[in-house]
Amino acid sequence: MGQKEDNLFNKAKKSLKVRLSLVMLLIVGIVFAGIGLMVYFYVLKEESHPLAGPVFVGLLILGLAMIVFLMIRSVRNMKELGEITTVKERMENELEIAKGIQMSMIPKIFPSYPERGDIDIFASIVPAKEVGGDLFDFFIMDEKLYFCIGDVSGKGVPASLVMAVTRSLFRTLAAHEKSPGRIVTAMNESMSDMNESTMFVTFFCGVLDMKTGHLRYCNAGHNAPVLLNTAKTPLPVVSNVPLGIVAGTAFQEQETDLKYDDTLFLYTDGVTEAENAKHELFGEERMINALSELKGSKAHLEEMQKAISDFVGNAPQSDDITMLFIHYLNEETPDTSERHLLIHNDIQQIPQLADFVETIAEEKHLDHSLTLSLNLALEEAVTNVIMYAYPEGTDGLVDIEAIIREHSLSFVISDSGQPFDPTAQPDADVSQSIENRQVGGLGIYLVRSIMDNVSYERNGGKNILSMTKNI
Amino acid sequence: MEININTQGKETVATLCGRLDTLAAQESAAQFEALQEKARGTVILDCSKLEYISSSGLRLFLTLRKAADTKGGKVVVKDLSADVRNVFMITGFMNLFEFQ
Repeated sequence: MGQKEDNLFNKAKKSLKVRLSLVMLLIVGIVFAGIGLMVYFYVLKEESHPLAGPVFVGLLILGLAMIVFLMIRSVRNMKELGEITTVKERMENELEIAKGIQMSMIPKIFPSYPERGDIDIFASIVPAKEVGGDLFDFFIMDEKLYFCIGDVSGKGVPASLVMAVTRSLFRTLAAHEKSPGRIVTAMNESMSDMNESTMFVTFFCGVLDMKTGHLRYCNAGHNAPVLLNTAKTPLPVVSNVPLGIVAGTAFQEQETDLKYDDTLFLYTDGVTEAENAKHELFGEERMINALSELKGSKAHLEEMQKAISDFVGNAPQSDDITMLFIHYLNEETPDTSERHLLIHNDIQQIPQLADFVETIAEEKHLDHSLTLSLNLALEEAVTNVIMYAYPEGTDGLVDIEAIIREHSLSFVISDSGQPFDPTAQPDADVSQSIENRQVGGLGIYLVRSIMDNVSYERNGGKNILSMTKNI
Repeated sequence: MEININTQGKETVATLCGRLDTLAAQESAAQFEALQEKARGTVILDCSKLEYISSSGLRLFLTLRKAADTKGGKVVVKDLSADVRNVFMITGFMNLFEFQ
């Protein structure tokens, strides 16, 4: 409940108290006036007592004074009530405007990309109150679909403010970053910094390559989206923690490939926790069952809306309900694939490189020696970044992209550290005798020896090292 | 990465087991320093179970070799696997050590 609403509530409570005490005063006033009159009729009329006159007058004046006071207060009370009504009307009006602003932050034109044949998106958001804490967003940039869904803890005005911040951060960060792991990590940093009200947001963010169907995603404590193809399976997600709880959290990024006709269904827990009059929850099982073999996003959305409203009946809506269907429709199958790894600039993360290269080697059926060589080249390049791109003690991320083609394999390593061009460093002189042999310079020498092509560029505040091996 | 060090008289045998990547090299630095102390005599690096080596590992080998040179001892590298030998070849380390 909002601060302003609280004030109104307190005011109303206070005015009720005032009214109760005034009623008491009225009763006491009438009693005093009554006693005054009784004394007059039964005592004073019969025998004239010396104190009878003053007692009668005193009681009568006291009673009348109370009644007059009460009448004055009543007039003031009426004015106060009028004021409260005005404030309430103004707040309702402001909430209505806030609702309009909030809804304008969310895509609302569907189908969203009628000119494109490769994507079909439908979504809806139904807040339980005037304003809500759910959000979704999506946009296409450089042939990549950036999308997200989120649910702010709590409801009403406070949740809606955090929702607006979350959506703005997503838009701003996603414009410069194609790794959802990095987007989520940066969002969490901003939100943990300013979060004194201890609100948090469960969030899921994905970046879909429209040409290849390659999907990179990162989850921050949100419900796993459901992948609808021949089966209906939740996307495997590492749950991680919601946004805004702990600064410095490492959010693990994941990836998969969408195929032609696959649909991704994202939702908030308002769907699974929709309640009927018997206080039963809609639940995940009913939700999955309601997802039919229908293929269009629009039909999916309408069918799910109907399933929820049939279940809930006349029971009041208790939480915001948000659904987003993304239907991938690119028929051209690409001959390249991608794999990604996001690590912190920490030597402790180096062993992850071996697993990463191993996965690619299995997919590409590379022999053991070549796998070890590729692992070595990658490790040397990444170690260079960890050692030289980030000043000692600063935390940064290293994004590693593997592009797998039929006859070659490339690694693209990027970081946001200070400018560092490893290709400009002198090679180790490997012909020197032991006395003159230098200990450094071996890393980049190994990279050059193993890979067929190595190049560096500084772009958009990032070091980008690309290296390719023909296979 | 596991390193077992065994000294008998003037000869010290260090058995290297597993992957000597950047992290493992950092974690093994103390043991290599201990080996430098033994470099007055002969240090044999048994590499039959060494699966992988990166430049950080090579640097440990080189520093040890330099220490032996100063102290008048020697370093022998034993049973390199083909893949690790390949890294020694690329970096010119084949000329710096004695091999068995």
